[in-house]
Amino acid sequence: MSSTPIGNRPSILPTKQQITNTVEHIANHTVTQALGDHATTVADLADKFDTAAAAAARLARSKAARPLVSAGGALLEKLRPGSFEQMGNGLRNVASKVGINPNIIKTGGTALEKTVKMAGVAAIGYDAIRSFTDTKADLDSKLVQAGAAVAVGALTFTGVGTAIVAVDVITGGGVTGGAKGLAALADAALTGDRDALNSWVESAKSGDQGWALKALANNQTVARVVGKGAEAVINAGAKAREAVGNAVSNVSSAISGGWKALFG
Amino acid sequence: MDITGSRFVDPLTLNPVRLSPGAVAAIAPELKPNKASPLTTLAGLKAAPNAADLDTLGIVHAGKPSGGTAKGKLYRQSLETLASPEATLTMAEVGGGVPPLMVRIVLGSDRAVLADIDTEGLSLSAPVPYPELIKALARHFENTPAFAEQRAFWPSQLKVLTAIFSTDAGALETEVTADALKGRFEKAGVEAGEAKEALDELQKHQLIEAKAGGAYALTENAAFWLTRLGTGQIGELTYVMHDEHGNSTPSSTELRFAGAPKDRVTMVAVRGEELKGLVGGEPPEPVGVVCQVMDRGALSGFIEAFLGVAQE
Repeated sequence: MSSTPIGNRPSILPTKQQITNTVEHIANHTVTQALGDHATTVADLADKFDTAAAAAARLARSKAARPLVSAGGALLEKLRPGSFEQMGNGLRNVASKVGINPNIIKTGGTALEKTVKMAGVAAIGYDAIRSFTDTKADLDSKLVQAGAAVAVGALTFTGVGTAIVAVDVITGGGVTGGAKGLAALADAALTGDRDALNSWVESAKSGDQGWALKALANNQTVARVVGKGAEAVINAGAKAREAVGNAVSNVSSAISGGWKALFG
Repeated sequence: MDITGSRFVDPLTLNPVRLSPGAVAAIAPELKPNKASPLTTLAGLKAAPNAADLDTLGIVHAGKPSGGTAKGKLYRQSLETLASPEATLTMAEVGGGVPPLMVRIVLGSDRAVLADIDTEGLSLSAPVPYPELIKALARHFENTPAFAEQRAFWPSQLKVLTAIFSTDAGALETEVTADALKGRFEKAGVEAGEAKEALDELQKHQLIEAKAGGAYALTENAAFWLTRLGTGQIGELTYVMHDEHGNSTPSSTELRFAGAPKDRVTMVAVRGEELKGLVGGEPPEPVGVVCQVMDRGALSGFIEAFLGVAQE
């Protein structure tokens, strides 16, 4: 299979056009079109609209008419009209009160406190880093996602609170932002100043998180450099430390894990 | 000579290798890395040039322009790609009871190179042809064979749904009793009137349905997506392009996958002008999440387009 090199280009427009063309090519491909039409015809002729046939037709159409995301960030998919519903304020008001957030963690009742203890590390780690970001106006909000990464990492051994944290990751800065934030925190600790962290924050604002020189730092150094928020993580207990450690150390050993996952 | 496709050395059979900061310092000047290159960042360590690692791996360099090996030529190609990245793809995955994973994949000159740096030096893979990378990504993020109609969510919808359908122990359930529902709203400080308004809205959007005795259940479609999110296993591809000077595109694009291996669904976060276009005006929230499921062929095409390396 041949492929087209990306090429060094001063502008992303040609690529966007190329992707647009590709999407249209896929959408218009006769095989996928025919598959979709054929499956639909079968279902129609049978006049039963058999569930399986209908599903096959939808699937075949999805191969042709779905996607895609351009390298420039445009969603080129032909979504059906009204894919996104109009929303009232009621849902948004409630949404602001639920999920993992410091207010719930701090003010929760007995049952919730129990939940937090069970969910534990996730919530504490999240709260700690969010507190840190809340108190440092010069830091990009993506650092909040460092908390989410800690939380999700922690969930690998607590196994609770999963969906709530996952939603925060999906709708926020994502996994990568969080993990890179942690690496930057460690860098800041290693260097003893905030240059690495500030540099990461600057690049993260533009979507490029750059190449950070990663190194694990001891907890005391982390606490000295990043202050109160990290101290809270460190003091949260052995599991929280393990969560932070896991996230950072796995970033540094990423290539072996990545190679194994893709080609191993 | 390009030997990426050599029958004597298959790059996919070569393990990633590590070069010391000194080895990188020894070869970087001739590769002229730009500012998006990990070699440039490593140069910040100001290590004394030391070509020992290069010689061991059979990588030719200005100090030893002959005597390279076939493997060394492949690793040299990897270094050339790393010096002038055309795009950087980050693959990350968390949850599912496995250690978090994050790896950078640098694209350029029709090759993909996995790379990582730390204070001990540069780790890099042999160069992987784009089609092999796409095949591997589509295999790794294979979607579920089950099917559900595409669905777009606002974050508020997802937050409320996961809050009220998550048990105290955190597991996601697809149906909640009236008592449990009342308790969950109360814990979050949501008054009865607000709760009803939210439930009505979710019902209107066909995300939940009322059951007997004041219970509510996720609709079949909502449950399809939410149960995958409930696994907490999230895979992510983040893509940034660079020009010849190493300047990066102003924002990254992201593709996410939720669910266990071979049972994942694809989730795309839409922002900015694209979201405005889809909504037909100012969106109520800054991001929307479009969920869909694709077979492997469709997913391969999707990833190709995402990376801008679509087949001719």
